Amino acid sequence: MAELAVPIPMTPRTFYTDTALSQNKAKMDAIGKTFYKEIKQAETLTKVPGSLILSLIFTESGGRPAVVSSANAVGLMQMKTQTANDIIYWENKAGRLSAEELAILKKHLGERVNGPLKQKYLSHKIKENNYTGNVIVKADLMKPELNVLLGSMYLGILMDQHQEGEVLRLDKVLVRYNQGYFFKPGTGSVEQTLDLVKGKSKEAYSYILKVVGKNGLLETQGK
Amino acid sequence: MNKLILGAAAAIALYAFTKKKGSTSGTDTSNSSDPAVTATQKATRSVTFYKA
Repeated sequence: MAELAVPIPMTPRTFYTDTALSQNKAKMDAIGKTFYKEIKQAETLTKVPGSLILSLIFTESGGRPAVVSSANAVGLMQMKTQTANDIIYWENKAGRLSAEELAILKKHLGERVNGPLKQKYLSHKIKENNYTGNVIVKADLMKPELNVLLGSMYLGILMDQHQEGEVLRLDKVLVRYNQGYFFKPGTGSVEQTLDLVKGKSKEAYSYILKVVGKNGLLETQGK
Repeated sequence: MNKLILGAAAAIALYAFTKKKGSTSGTDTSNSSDPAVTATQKATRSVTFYKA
């Protein structure tokens, strides 16, 4: 898997203890083997590092493709149906959908893919989405290939929004993936952002540390 | 007096409508929420690793 242009760990703060490292590594290896094809394909198409994709699959679902959260987030990367629809709309509108990505979307969604492709704005209710603004259903997101591709596209959008000069602010990417697209992570340093997030959501704070903290999932994969 | 009450009620209703229309909480349905990302960014995204 390709890796990240970001110093790992981004912060000396820790979530996982030293004893958790070997267990995490073993579990990530297992998930990585099971979904190697889907992760590698998403990495190739979206240019989001497979190590990051794998870290999120581990954190979000523990590698369970059919898991549904109490917030109705679905599958390996815990995508919500409306978000998945919006991602296709955004990627298409920005001219970022490749022919290969479109072929995978069509393979899983069939004619429904025309919903987000023909939307003129977010949540646009048109005939192609039965005037609902969304064509994606939970069953779609239980398919590993589609879930991982859409989750990676979403990560890619967030990464491009938080590329600050030479620095990729993965902390901000992660908190918005966890807390929602409209979460405002502020303009501070990594440590300042962590303090801000800690004050708003302990869960989101832990989420960042799990991936980019000391003993975090990205560091673990680099060992 | 009744006219005054009706006028106040209409003003409150108009204010509430305007607030609702302009709300940006939750799912924003305006074009301005589209992320300013480009195809070039996606095509040239760096995947080089270095360790701090």
